[in-house]
Amino acid sequence: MAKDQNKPGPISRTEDVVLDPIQLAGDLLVLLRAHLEPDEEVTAGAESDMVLPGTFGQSWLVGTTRRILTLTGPPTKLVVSASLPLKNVITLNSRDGLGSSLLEAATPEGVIVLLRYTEAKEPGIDAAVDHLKSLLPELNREQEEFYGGEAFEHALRQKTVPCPKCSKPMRRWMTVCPDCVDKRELIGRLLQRSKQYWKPITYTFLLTAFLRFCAIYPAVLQQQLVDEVLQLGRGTQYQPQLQLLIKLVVILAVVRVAQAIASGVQQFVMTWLGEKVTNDLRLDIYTHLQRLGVSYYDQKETGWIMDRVTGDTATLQSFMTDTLQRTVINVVTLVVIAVMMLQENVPLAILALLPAPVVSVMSRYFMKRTHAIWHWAWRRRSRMFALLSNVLPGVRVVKAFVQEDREFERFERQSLHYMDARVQAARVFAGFSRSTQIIMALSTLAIWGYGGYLVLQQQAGIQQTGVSVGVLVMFIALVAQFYSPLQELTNMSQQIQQAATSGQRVFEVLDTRPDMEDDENAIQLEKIDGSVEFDNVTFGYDERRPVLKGITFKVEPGEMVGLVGPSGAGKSTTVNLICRFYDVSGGSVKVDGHDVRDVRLSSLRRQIGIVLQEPFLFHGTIAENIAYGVPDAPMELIIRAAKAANAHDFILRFPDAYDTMVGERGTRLSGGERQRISIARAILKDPRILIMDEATSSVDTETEALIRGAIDRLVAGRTTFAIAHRLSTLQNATKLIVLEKGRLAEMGTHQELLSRPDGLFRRLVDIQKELADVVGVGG
Amino acid sequence: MSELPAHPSDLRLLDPTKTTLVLDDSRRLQVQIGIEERIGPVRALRSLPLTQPERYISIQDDEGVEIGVIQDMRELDSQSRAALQEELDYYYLKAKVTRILRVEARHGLITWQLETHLGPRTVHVRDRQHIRSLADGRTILTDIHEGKYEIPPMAQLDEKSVHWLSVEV
Repeated sequence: MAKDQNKPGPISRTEDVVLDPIQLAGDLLVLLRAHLEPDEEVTAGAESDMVLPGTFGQSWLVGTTRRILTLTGPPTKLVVSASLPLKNVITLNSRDGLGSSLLEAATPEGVIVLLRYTEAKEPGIDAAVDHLKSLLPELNREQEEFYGGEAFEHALRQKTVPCPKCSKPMRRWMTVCPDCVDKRELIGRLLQRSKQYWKPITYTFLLTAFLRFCAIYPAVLQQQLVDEVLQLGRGTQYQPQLQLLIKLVVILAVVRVAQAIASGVQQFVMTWLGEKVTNDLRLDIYTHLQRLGVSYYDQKETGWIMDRVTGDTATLQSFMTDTLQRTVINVVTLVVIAVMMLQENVPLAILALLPAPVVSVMSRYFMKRTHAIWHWAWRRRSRMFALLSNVLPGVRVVKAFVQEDREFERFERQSLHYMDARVQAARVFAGFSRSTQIIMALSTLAIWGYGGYLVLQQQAGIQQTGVSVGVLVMFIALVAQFYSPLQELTNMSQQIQQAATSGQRVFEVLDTRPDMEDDENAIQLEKIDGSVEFDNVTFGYDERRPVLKGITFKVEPGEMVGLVGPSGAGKSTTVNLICRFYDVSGGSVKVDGHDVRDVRLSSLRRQIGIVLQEPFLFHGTIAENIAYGVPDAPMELIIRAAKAANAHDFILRFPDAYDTMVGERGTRLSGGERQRISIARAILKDPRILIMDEATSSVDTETEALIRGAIDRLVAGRTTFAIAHRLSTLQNATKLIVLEKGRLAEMGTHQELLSRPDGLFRRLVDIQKELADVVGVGG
Repeated sequence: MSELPAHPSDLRLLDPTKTTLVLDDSRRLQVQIGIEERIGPVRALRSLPLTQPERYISIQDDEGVEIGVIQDMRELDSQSRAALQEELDYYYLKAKVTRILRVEARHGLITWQLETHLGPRTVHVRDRQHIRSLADGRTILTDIHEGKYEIPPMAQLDEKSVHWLSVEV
């Protein structure tokens, strides 16, 4: 197989055998050109030994910078059998059979079979597919990222909406698809955000302008110094020349000192402004994140979100406070210097200005090239953060399963990927900036050469309108001052590019519409009685796969309801709907007769208390955690709640008692202690509706007895929904709702349901009894 | 307020006007509630030893069962208050820092050279989680042996102490 010199590098550093993504013969690559657009490049390709639907023969998979192609026929008569734009591909998947495999592409419209091949061609096709996956657009990559190994299946069920601009499918929470993001608009939006800081920005702008003046003005003084002071000839006198010399040196000194002072002030103001902008932006994102519904967090990894709050805001800070101003000042400086040079000597000025358009064209090309690389690097950084935030909290599991090495390898892979992306960006940038440096150096040399020639001509009397030594010195000084902002401007293209990328990511969060906002006419719920009604409720996290189907029941105030059923029956989903963490797909959930969609969310949730199987405590003291729902609760009530939750005694045994810091997520407390703190938190909140999701399932029997005592006190007088696998713990329930596969299977009291010999509840109780007997005999 | 609670889990606040605390001959605390209820020896535990050390003092019998809670020990009569204070001072050893001489982070420990009302002391603190700033400006150090050191608000410290404290907090 012939190797192409322009091929992309190896895909992975961690694989033992790394295949080139282009496994195509050189002559085939030439023939392929006839089927490609002029600016379309082949990035991956492999040959198959089968032709769809399933005969032996030659076919090819080709990935280009734009699309995925499959071709059939002999190389001289290639026929394109499929052409799929990359932006329409969510992911690629190999479906293995015995002896052959199918390559399928998931698209928003469905699955498309691209290729069939035998095991003999598998390595080449796998390498090409891996590379193609890395090229899939941001939107599709993200879909794949958060679905992990099940990307393909999830892609088929993906909920998408058409982009309002281009009608291409996009994730439903986005306002515009990444393809339609207008970078100018993005920069415009960033500028819009800067408006509120116009005062400090004006100060720094003026200071920067003054600094530029300080940088340019000495060139004029130098010209005066050379032409008027340092050339004593006939007709000039020593004393006035000396005085002029002193005057010019003093002015130069004053300019330099002023420059140093202004520079210090500017540095401080810009740092202050930068910190202020970042802080405000961070707070905006965080506030918005708090408004977003639970479903948003279901779909995004913590690390992904954290990276936007921290990493991207820092990038935008430098853009809004530094890059932006320097861009304006540099452009103004370039114009001023150009005018000064043109006034002095036109041919020399043209020589000096020649590199500007060249550098500008190069800069445009560079921006285009680096955009993709920066996106690539950003995505890899997000993936690295996502991995960290996923693995670190589960460090006990990692150690228990002795998976440290594997986790290290996973992290190393992500870290290397990120490093590779940054190195590649640096490589491109280094090539670009050195090229511009060479061009500028050549231009300076040209000025020395041609300017020197003009000076010699004037001094030799050949040409009277030549150039004086002073003018040449001034030109050299001005050229240095001209190239510096020019170079800065070209470097800024990288910063602007980064800012645009970060801006896109930040605005993606800020533009996400909260899926659950109060309606204008939403009712403010006062203290409720606590009746709950499900009226023909249907719901699915994915609309095509309903988790609850036509559920109807009514619970009176003060009732204790046990939710029973096998795993996956929809018990937790039922309580999620009462809290309105999600909206139903069909039917309605009513609290005190009001549809939960018609009431203010805060007034609803304020009256609901939740005790979860894995209670979540925040970093802070025990007292702060108990008072989380009622931050201004007096200490007496906090202690009363802790006593009711059987927590007071163990709390007092800590040296710092209620002042004890619980550690991150409450790690300094045992599971039972955390649970009792969470019950105290619920008691203090005094909710009208209480939800307990497996509140006692993860603690030992003795602790369970303590917790049960606490729960008995907690449920008194409240409508309670309790989910428990240990059915015996629901004996006090006034009503049991038995769910099976998302449907209401049975409903009644403990006794009523037990009396149905063929009932599901009876069956579940019998199974648990048998298990208990086995454990009893065995134990 | 001093009646028995209806349920063992209920909070029993002890009426300061009807509660007397004394130390017996062996300097152990006894509590007298009303006329008829005298229990001893008892121990006193602070509910909020760092933030509100004089409030919500739990009085427990020698088996650790709570008899009641004194909401504010400053409302007790002076003798009871003195007896309770002595018991608490004994149980909660907390040195009050008067000067910070030096702070050094080495080998994963933060070493504080302090002058306290109990004398000079070199204190090793594991990490910054064991340096807690309280809302009223005080800072509490917990050393590797769980010893507590209370640093007053910065306004009450000399310049050098403020310097060392501001580096760490």
